[in-house]
Order: sequence, then C-alpha cells, then structure tokens
Amino acid sequence: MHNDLKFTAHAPVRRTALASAVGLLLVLSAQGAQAKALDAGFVIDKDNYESIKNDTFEDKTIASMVPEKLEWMIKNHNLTIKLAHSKKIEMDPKYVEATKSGAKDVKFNPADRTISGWKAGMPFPPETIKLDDPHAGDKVIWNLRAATYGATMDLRDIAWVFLDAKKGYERVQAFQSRRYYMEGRLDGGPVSVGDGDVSQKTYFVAHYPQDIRGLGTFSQRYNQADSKKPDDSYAYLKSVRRTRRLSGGAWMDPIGGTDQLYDDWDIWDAWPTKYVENKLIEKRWVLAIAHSPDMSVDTAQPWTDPQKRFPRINMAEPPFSNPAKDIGWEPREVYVVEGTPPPEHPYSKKVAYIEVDFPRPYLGYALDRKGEFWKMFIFQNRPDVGDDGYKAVMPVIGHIIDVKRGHATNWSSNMKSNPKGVKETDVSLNILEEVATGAGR
Amino acid sequence: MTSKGATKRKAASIAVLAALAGAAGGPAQGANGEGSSWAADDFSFNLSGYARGWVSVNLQNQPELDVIDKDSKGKLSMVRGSLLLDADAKTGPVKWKAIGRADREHKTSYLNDLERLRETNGTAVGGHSSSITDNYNNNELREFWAEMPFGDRVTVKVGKQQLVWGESDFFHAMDLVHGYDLSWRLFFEGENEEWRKPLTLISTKIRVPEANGMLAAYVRPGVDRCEDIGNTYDIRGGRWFFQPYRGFDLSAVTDKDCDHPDGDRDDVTGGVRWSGEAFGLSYSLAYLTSFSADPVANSAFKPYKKAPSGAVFDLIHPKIDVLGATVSGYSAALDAVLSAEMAYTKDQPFNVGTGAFLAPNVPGHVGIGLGGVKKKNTLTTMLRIDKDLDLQGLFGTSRPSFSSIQLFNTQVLGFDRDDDLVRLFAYGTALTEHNTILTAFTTLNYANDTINPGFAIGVDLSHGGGFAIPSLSLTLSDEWLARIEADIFWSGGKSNKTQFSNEPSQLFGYFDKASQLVFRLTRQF
Repeated sequence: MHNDLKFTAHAPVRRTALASAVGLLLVLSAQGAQAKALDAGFVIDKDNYESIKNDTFEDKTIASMVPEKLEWMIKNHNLTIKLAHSKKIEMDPKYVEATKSGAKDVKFNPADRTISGWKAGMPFPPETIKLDDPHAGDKVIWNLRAATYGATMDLRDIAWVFLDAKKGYERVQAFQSRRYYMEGRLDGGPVSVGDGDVSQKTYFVAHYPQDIRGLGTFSQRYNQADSKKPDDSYAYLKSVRRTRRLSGGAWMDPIGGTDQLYDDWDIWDAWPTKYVENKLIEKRWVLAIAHSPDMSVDTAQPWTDPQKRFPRINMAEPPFSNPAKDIGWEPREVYVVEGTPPPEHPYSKKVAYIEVDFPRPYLGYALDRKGEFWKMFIFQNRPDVGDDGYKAVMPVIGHIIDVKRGHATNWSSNMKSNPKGVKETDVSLNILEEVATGAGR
Repeated sequence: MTSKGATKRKAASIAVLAALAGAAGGPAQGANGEGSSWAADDFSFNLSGYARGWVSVNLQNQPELDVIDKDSKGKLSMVRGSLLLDADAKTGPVKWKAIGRADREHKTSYLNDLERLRETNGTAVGGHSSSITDNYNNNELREFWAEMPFGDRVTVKVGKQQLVWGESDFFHAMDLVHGYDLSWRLFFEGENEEWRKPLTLISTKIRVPEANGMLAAYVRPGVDRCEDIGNTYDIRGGRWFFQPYRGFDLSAVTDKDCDHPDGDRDDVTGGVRWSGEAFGLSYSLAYLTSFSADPVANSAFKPYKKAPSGAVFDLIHPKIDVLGATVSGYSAALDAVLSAEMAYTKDQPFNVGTGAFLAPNVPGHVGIGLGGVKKKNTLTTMLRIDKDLDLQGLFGTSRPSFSSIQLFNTQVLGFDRDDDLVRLFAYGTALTEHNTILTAFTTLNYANDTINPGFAIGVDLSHGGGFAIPSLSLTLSDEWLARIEADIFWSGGKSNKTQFSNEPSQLFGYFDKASQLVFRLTRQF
C-alpha cells in the first residue's frame, strides 16, 4: 500500500521526467542531425525555411534573424534570401567625430519629444540609447535626422517601377533628384547653411516617359523639431509651363501613383514628433541588404528591357517585386522601432528595423487602420564614397510591397553622396523650371 | 498669308521635323542604349515625343446646318493625328531645345457639310483656306531655343520659346506673353503648352537668393510671324467657330492686320517680373507690354487709325500694358493652398456698336461691333483654393484627390453703358462691367494612377451658361495613354441662332450646341 501509494505519488513525476528526457534527446538528436552552420551563398526560400530555420549563420540561428513579417514574405511572397557574410561598415571619420563631440550638447525634451543643441553626426550615439528609456524610440528616429547620405544627396537615375504580383512589370517613371541638407553638413564647408530655418531641400524632375518628362517638384523642410510648420512644396507643371504651390500637408499621402507614402521615403521620413508615439521594441539581429551591388540602374540598357535596366529587382519570377536572387543578405544588428502615426495617417503602425551603429533603416512594415499587415519595406543599401571622399551609406533600392493588393512600387537609384560642385542655390525653387526644362539630364 | 514666304516656312518646318525624325532613328540610338539618348561628360542628347490621335463626335445638332438640311448629332467632328518630336541637348554649359509638331486631319462628312455652308453664306471664295481642313493641318517648329548661364545667377534663353507668367487655370490674367491657338482644340485640352503660340524671345532669369527671389525679364524683338500674334480662333467656319457662324468663312471678308499702328508685330515688346518667397507665401509682381490676346475688328465702316484691307474688317491686336501680381500660400488650418492673381490692363481694346448689323442700338453707330474701337482699362482678379480632398473612403480612390475651385472676374474700369461696347465683334451683345466665371475640378486616382476619372465644371455667374467635362484618363503602359471626355456646354438661354443679329449671346452662347464626346489615344516614345 505504502509502496503503492509511493508509486502512485511519484508516477507523474517519473513520467514527466521520462518524457522530458525523451524530448531532450529528440531535440538534441534533431539538432545534432539537422542544425548546422550554413555557408555564405546558401539561399533561403519557402521550401527550405522550416528545415533550416534553426541552422546558424555567423553563430546566430536563421530564425533569430528573420522577423515575423520577413518570414511571412519568404513563405507567402516567394522571397529568397541569399546569405552573405556581414562586413563592417565604417562611417566617415567626420561623422564619427561629430557624433562623439556633439552628443553631449544634445538635449531631449520629454515634454514635447523635441531635441535641441544638435549640430551634426548622430544626436544619440548607440551607447546612450537604453532599452528601458521610454523615449528611446524617439531618439532612434531622431538619429535619422543625421542622415548617413552626406551633405548632398544625388538620387541619380532614380526610377519607380510599378509591378503587379500576377502580371509583373507595368510601367516606370524616371527622375533626376537632389537633396541638399542645410544642417549637419560634413563636407568640409560650414556645418550649417543659411539662417538655420531650413533643414533640407529636395527637387525631383521627371525625364521618362514623355508625358511626365519635364515635370518637377521642389520641397523644403523646415528646421522645427515639433514638426508644426509644414513643408513648402511646389510643382513645375510642364504641360502648362508654370510652377504651382502644393499642399504642405502631404507627408502622409502617396508619392504620385506609387505604393509609397512620402513618409515611407527611406522607410521612415517623418520626424518623430509627427508620430504620436515611437517605441523601441528591442535590439536584435536581422538579415538585411547592406551591400547591394554597385550599379542599381543600368542606364545602358533600354527602357524596353526593364529587367536589365533594373537588375537588382527580381522581375523574372512572381510576384516580381522581390530583391534579385543574387543579392546578398547579411546579419545586421538593428533597433526595432514601432511608430504610432496620428489617427488621420493611413497606417495604424509602422515598424522599422534600423542599424544600431548608424541610422540606416533596412526593413520595415506597416499595418492598416484595421491592424492588418499592409505593406512590407525591404531596402537595399550600400556604402558609397562621395566625390569629395566622404564615406556615406546610401539606400539604393526600395521595395515597397503592398501585400494586401498584390502590387509593388520598387525604386532604384545609382545614389551618390556629395556630388561635386553642387551649391545650395542649385537646389532651389528658382532653379526648378530650368532643371525641369532640361529634364535633369 | 498664303504667300511664298509661308510656303518656305512650311518647307523649313518639314525639314526640321524630318531632321528630328532622322535623329530619332539614327546615331542617337547608339551610345548608351537608352533608345534615343546620348550622354557623355559634356554632351547629352535626348529625343522623345508622341504620335497622338483624336476622334470626336458631336452630341448635338447645330442650327447652321439646317440651311443644307443636314444634321450634326452623332457625326464625327474631328479625326486628327499629331506627331510631336521633342529634342533636348546639352553642349557644355549650353542647353538646346527643339520641338516640332505635324498635325493632319481627315475631312469628315460633318466638316464637309460645314465647308458646303460657305456656298450658302457667300464665303465660298476669297477665304484664306480652300479646304476646311487647312484650318487644322499644320507643320510647325514650335520651339527652338538655347539657354546658357552667365555666372551663378544669370541664365539667358534665346529663341522660339514659351514663357508663362501667372497663376490662373482655364483663363488668362497675367499669362499674356503669348496668344493661343484655339482653332483646333477641344475646349479643355489640358496641356496648354500644346496650344500656346510660341514666340521668338530673349529671356533672362536673375536669381537673387539674398532676397529669396528671382528677377525675370524678356524682350520680344519683333521677328514673329503675323499668325504668331494674339489668339487664333476657328474663324474660317470650322467646328469651333462660334454659333451661329459655323460654316461662315470669315477670312473671305476679313484680313488679319499685324502692321496696324496700334498693333505692329515688328514692334519690340517685353516685360519684367519679380517672383519670390516671403512670410511663407509665394508672390510675384510683373509688368509687361504685349498684344491684346483677343482681336478686335477694325471696321471698314468706321476705320480705327488705318483703313482695313479686308472687305468688312481687319482683325487687329492692339498693344496693351499689364501690371499684375500673384500670391499663393499653404494654409495648415484649411490644409489647402490659397492663390490670388490680379492684373490691371491698360488700354484693353473693345469694339463699339451693340445691336444688329443693320439695326444698331445707338443711332449712328454700326451694330455687331463694327462701329469702331474704344480702349478701356480692366482689372482681372482670380481667387482659388486647391485642396487634396480625402475621397478614399467615399470613392475608394488610392490617394487624395487634387481638387480646385477658382473664381475669375474681369471688370471694365470706368464702365459706361453709353460707350456702347460689345463683348465680341460679330455679335451685338453689350459688354457688361463684370464677367465672372466660377470653375472647379477634381481628379480621382485608382490603381496607381492608371485609371483617373476627372470632372471639371465652369459656370458664368454673370450671364448664365457653363460647361461640364467628365473625363477618364488611362495610363495603359509606358507607351500608351488614352483619354475619353465629354465636353458639355449650356448657354443659359443666351445664344444666337441668327448671324449679324441682336440676339443675346454671351460667352457660353458661343459654344452652344458644340458639345462633344472625345477620344484621345497617345503612343509616346
């Protein structure tokens, strides 16, 4: 009886112990049989993902580097990921020095989430960003203000390709564009240009196809940390040959007929104060494209062969909007920031995966107002050396994929940092018509 | 106007078009594979263009055709094709532009009927066009200019070009440097660069960043053709000649006089404009001396400074002086752009003589505006609000809809009914002190802007009448574009059925029974 009782009392424990041992053995044997270190060049796809997700690359499991929405893209959007070894990206010494020397002067005001005292470099170096800081998300996004592009950005040969998930290539719109930063400049000249009112100025001039050739836009973002003053926006309308003032409240509207909002430029364009809240969710590793091949747009190829002209987009296989299969994805450590846009914004949430060492977004996604997965952002980036030797890191391909509608707009650009000879007056409203009538070429 | 000179110019235009076409298929295809572009460090060349076809159908019967027992409803009013070649090049610091366009029309049975009307109204002989399609067929080097910088601030552009100052849509307050060719167009051909008449100008822009602005100026040295001066209407009795004059070839009894003492094409004209930004607003101030866009009649019955060569009158474009200002700015509170434009025109010419030709309202005058020319000063005012309307929830559009409402008023200063001025020659309707037009348009965008329904409407608040233009623009691919629109007019009961009469036609009476359904297909390259 006692024994019976004893047996009875211990039976569940023993069964649990036995089950645990068997389970452990199974796990260990499974890992021993299947978990392995993958080689660079291995291509993850929907067919092999489940079997390799516990394998490792650079000592991290694949699953730990594939966030949920990226996994969804692999399984449901035919996304493939070719593994590549991570390479150290050195920021320009001027950027590093400006960050180091300037950070102490930067003040974050929790009351209105604005910053002051920033001159150049990152306002908040990684070592100052703490996961338990309720404003850490704002600080990561403020770091985007210290662009990694350099003082002037030449969005050379930029073109938006419109892609249908079933039918493939639809059409293209090609532009020339420049952005001139009025602050945080590290090109050897003054760090700040003008009276400090303006943060940046940008023009876009269309040159293909013919119906939009000569159409130009110019926008000016003000240097207001609370984002209350809207951008100035203008369009040169080639068909009527005059410049027209545009709404300054378009930051959450689509860029023309694309799937991309102005706010999606570089995945996250708005200053953090435009959003209701920005939460730093975690710091983690992801697979990302940080070394896209040198040529993003092959201008030697005809418009009639879009796959050759835009070789870094896989337009050959459905759903026609993923990065080309031969592009390498490498492990990068990122901050994951979840933004809550204002109620009038089309998104209810935007999440961005931004490099820890410098402010460079690699991946992102947006939820619609119902909280459903709407858009995926996969951006290809690469280090670039400007005409003046400045070491920049540039986004060169942006895959904006509307997964609900089965449509995408992918932009590609032979982005160039600090192009030679560009003056502040070369990126201005007064020059827009002249640039547009020369179609930016 | 049909002289050897014109023939030579036509030949030259064809040669230029041929040269541009040759460039399109020649070595330009080589260099970098862009199809029609070359690019090197100090040289670039690009050729683009389109082939475009229109077909339009009359939606109403027009009273003029009753005379020959014909109707117009359901008949083709236009079958038109255009080829445009647009070349730009850069040689070192100099930018070059050449645009040529060739237009051809098929003589539809409706146009043939309009041409037959000439025999019924005494204008079959003596006109400037033997065939009605001569009104519309054209080969033209539309632009040919070079632009070069002088230092960082100054650029100078020399050659045949388009220069647009002003803000208004549909109508023109300060946009008076050029006239417009309104003979062939649809009422709302959106791209007004296609029907603006380029001029040979020397223009300059001087940027003054210290004052956040730019000074622009131009001189028209006076080398343009007569046909380049002022607005051109379909006065040879075509489909867009105003009711009740369709089929009446006015050129059989009139001439265009560009050597008039008050409006001589050889005269140098020009203007200066300052534009800038201040207090968050964009603004401009401009002065120009130009030719009156709309012609007036220099009547044989009461010649104005010179006897006309035309049997009844000459069309002249006296010079005017215009002082204008524009301002626009974004209102965050309204989330809209507000714009305004004012133009004071000195010496705007009008014709004298209300009433029917043979029964003028004022004894001693000559009716339908053939009683001379009188100049008045006018004030043109435009107020506009542009707003991106959030119609996504209502109509399922893919982005906010660019929409605009505009009020446009022309006031005759020092207006005096006793001046007996008419609104337009050939009509006996009296000019009113104010002419106010309210217009509005919106565009809906679907499927990444490939399907774009639009709607425009205009109402003459002073006299009644208006227009409505529902449309659908389609982007079919990189190469193919299509547009379908209906141009619907109503006259507000103020239109003329009888020529040379005292009937009460106002602006939209001219377009009475001209409603059209229009299809446009473009293959661009």
